Amino acid sequence: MDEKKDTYTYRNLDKLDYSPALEAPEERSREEERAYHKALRKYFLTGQKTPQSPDETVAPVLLAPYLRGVSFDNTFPVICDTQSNVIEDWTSYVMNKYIFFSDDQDRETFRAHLSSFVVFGGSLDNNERIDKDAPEFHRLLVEHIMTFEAPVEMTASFKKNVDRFYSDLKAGKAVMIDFSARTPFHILNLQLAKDKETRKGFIKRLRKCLAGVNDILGLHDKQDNAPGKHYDFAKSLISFDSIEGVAPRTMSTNLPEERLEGLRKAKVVLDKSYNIYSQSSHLILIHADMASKWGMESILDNAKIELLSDCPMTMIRARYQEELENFIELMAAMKRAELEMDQKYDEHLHKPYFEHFNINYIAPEDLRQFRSMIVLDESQHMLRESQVLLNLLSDGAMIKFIGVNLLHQLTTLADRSSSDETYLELASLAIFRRNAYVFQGAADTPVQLSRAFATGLTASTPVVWNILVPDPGSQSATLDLMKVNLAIESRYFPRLEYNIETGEDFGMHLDVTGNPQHKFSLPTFKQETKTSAGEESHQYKLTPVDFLLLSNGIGGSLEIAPNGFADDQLIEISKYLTSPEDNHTGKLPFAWVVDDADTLKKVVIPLRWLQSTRNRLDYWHFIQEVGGVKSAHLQRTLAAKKEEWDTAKESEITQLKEDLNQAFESTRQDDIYRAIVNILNAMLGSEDPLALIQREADRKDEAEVEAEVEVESADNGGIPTRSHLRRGAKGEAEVEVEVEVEAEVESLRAEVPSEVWVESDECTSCNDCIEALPGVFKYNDDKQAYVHNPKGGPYAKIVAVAEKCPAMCIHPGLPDDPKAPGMDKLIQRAEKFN
Amino acid sequence: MIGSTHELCSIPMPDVDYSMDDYAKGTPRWCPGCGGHSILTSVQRVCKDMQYPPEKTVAVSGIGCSSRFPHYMGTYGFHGLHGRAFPVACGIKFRRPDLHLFVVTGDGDCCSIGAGHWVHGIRYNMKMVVLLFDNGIYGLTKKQTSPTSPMGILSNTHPKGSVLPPINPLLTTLGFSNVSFVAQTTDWNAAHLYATIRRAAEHDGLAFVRIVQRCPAFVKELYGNVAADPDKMILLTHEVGINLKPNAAKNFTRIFEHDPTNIQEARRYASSEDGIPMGLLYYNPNALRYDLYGAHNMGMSNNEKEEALNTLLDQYTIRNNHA
Repeated sequence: MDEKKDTYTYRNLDKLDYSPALEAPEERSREEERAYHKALRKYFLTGQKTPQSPDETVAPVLLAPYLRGVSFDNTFPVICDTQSNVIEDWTSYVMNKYIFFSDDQDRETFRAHLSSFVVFGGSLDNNERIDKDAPEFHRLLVEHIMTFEAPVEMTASFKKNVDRFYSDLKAGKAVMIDFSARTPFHILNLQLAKDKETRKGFIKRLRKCLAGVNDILGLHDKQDNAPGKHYDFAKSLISFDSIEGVAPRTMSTNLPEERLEGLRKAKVVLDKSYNIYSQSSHLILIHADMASKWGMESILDNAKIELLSDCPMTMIRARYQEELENFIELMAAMKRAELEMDQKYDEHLHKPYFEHFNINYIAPEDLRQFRSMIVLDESQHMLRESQVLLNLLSDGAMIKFIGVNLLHQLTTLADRSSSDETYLELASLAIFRRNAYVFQGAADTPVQLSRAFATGLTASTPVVWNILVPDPGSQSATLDLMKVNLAIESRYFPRLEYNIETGEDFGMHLDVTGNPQHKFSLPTFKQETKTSAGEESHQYKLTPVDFLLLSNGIGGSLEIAPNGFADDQLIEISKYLTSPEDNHTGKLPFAWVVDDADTLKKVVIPLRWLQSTRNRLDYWHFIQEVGGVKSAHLQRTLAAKKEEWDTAKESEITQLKEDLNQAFESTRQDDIYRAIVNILNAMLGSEDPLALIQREADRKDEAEVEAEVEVESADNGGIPTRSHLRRGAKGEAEVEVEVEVEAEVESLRAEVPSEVWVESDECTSCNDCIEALPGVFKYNDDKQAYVHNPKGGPYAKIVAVAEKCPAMCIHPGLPDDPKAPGMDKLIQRAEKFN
Repeated sequence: MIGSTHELCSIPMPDVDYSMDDYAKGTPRWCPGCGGHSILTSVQRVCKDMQYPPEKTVAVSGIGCSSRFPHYMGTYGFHGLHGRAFPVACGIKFRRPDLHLFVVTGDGDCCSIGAGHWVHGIRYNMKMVVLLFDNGIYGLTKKQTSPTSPMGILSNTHPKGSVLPPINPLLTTLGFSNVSFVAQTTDWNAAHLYATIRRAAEHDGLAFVRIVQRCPAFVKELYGNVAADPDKMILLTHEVGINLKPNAAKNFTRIFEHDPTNIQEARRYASSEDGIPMGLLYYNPNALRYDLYGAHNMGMSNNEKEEALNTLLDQYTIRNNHA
């Protein structure tokens, strides 16, 4: 139902002024038609083209402009601030940090100008990271800025700021990444660096434990052969026996041998782990072929890399168990060390504790410190031993899998005779275990991907990232980006995220909103089309077939139906896939394409493609259902309920109509009767009819003035509907009063600002808000805080920051949804500061 | 220094617009909520607004939390000895009057170990801005009584409460001879802090600014409540004093007109127990400046200096009369 109401435009397609033309059908003779049908059926089953099909290059209708050089809307290149490791669109980064505008309109004009600057397009010698010397980039950027029409002094300041931006890039304050096959791994590496930073606290704690244990053992050992070697020089000078009474005594002097033994063992463990952890908190196991093909070792320099000649799951499991045992041992050693250091070790309590120490004794926040083990391999390989993989997932093994799906694997899928598509569904296998963090997507939305990596890296559950990447060594980054994006948007490889920490029920865990028009089977786009009758607006749907068409080199082996042939035998693929089978029995599916002259043509889809397409779409429906976006059961129940309600209402309406008719009849009878009486009176002269009418009118007025009259037996002719009306009026008055009260409350509310704001003049630049909520607050030129995005952080945190602000100059305003649970308390807390 | 004049030292100034970033360096390691952050920003803003070339600006400090200040300024700096910020600064000013000086000192550094230098620093009246970060506690060494800690404060040196009345740095400074500029402000009123430092930087002579500072880590209770209560602040205004924009002044409930040339009034406000007076307490543009005296030979060339030195040494030459 909704599907009909909503129309969408495909990215900036509506701005393109592009409209393909629809040819008027040609007349064909019956014999020709029949022969063609026969050949077409054969083509459908075997893939053999008919002789009538023209050999033309064609393009899917929704993508044609992009294939012909119109630049494709995307966020690349992206920039990552190496301090905060937040990835953002580079134009916003430059605009926020280097070039400021007071006027919003100027700002937007300049942004548009800046985003029209396209340098790389993957052509920078496959060097997708720009953080070192790139003078060419700098020169081009300055040149581009200079073409912006602005006063001279403004352009000069632009240039100065661009220079600053470039020198910051050179100094490594930010990294610029373009789209390529290796982009996801660059993003991963940046997140690894961030994660490493957060793990520093743990390493510090480890070092403290080690130092503490060394202290205790050192003191004790000193006493064993006192005076220790440190005092050798003083032996002849000081009599140690005589100062024993005043020397500081520690717990360790009285430690029993058993506890000392425990501590010595802990020391060995701590020593070993400290060496490992201080080197790297991340271990990546990569298939050797992959590592060499992608140059992984040079990309992932923030982790320790181990190459595996083959990646059997059994081996990974063994490796994991070894790591886990080491970790449990380490946690036990740390707990022991901390207890002894704080002198809180209690023999009765802690002896059994350490004897039975196992993974369940480790607190969740400690569990997060488990040395990240990342397995990087193609999804296909991972599922070779799917049984072991599933076991690992259901055991909650803290392994992070990065399943890599190559673009060519997806595209050749449809052409293979027996297609095994299970690996495309690695994500759903992991979701079945319900305890893992799962992400499926690609680098076409780098911000989302980077967030997914960050979330996965800190999770203490199994993690599966199933990502789609272009083939390494591919030549055109722009085309690759388009293909990857299309694979996702056409539902061939839908984007999804499953995170048990978001929301309370299952539907909330699974997020499919990253897909366009995620509530529908297929995304719909509007496009002007030229027909013989003029321009018409047509709706086209993006289907998995469009992805296959784009990727498989268009026009090669596919049948393009010649004009006028078989029009009644063909049905649009989107309808074919989504409507009940009865509607298309005996018909063949086709997809809209355009030729070089922008004339619309129909490409007939062969059977082998249809199967694959249907599989992918089924998978998407399944994901929709699981994600709670769409529920067939619910829809059916709703439809049934609606029907029930409709029939009930209908009968009610008929009943009401009948009542009304009856009332009308009786009133009419009454009026006629009274008219007759009046006429009779007038004729008989018993009373002046005019006076009578006047009196009647007065009486009516009186009755209307009285607010609460409820008279069935009233003097106004006993029309039952009148009292009804009055009651209705009274009810309305009450409603009005309520409305007024509400309006008053609203007006009171309106005085409170709806969004958070800062009195920048009062700011003391204490960094509190900037550090707590960098998404909301920023410093201006004078290093005083202002709000750059009021929606950049949770309201609770904004209130907390306002309470903490030493200058009390943050005014939290009201939350987006004041009625959400828990908000009233926050609003109360915020009141003081508004 | 012999053999060069300050003109030769001068670095040709590029014609640039300095921004806040040009005065910033490193990440301040003060605790979150420390007043130091706001003072640092204000000084950087003053530098930017006065367009002091960073290479012609020096921050000098002694020892203490406050004295980490030079590390965070993108200018020259000298993290000196304990209590010796004044002598180092005076030395710099004496030989390089072309430099802009900020002296940063804390309540311990200035009023305790450096008290002797404080007296003479004020008396020398060399052109510089002295910022006394007064949080009433030793923060760097983790909570010991400082000379300005209020009596009875609990600290690690006096766990049952400090036993001596504190020094009043304003009253004390107003007692030194040749004092030329005494002002007080707080770290939590950014507008007043900026206006005060700006006024101090514009003053011809030594500008002594006591900044009442909060220490959120160790004595949160000392000024924590005061900061939130506008009635505890007294704003002193005068046409030659420190004046706020009307918008910033509206936060004050107690505003008094005070003539900063009247030292008796200044002492009365300085000793006030009721609230913190903020503004210019005392101002004497006619106080003598020792740096001007020291600069009298600044323009001499190398040859002239050599000649003068030789003339001096010649007095001690022993002539051989027998020859």
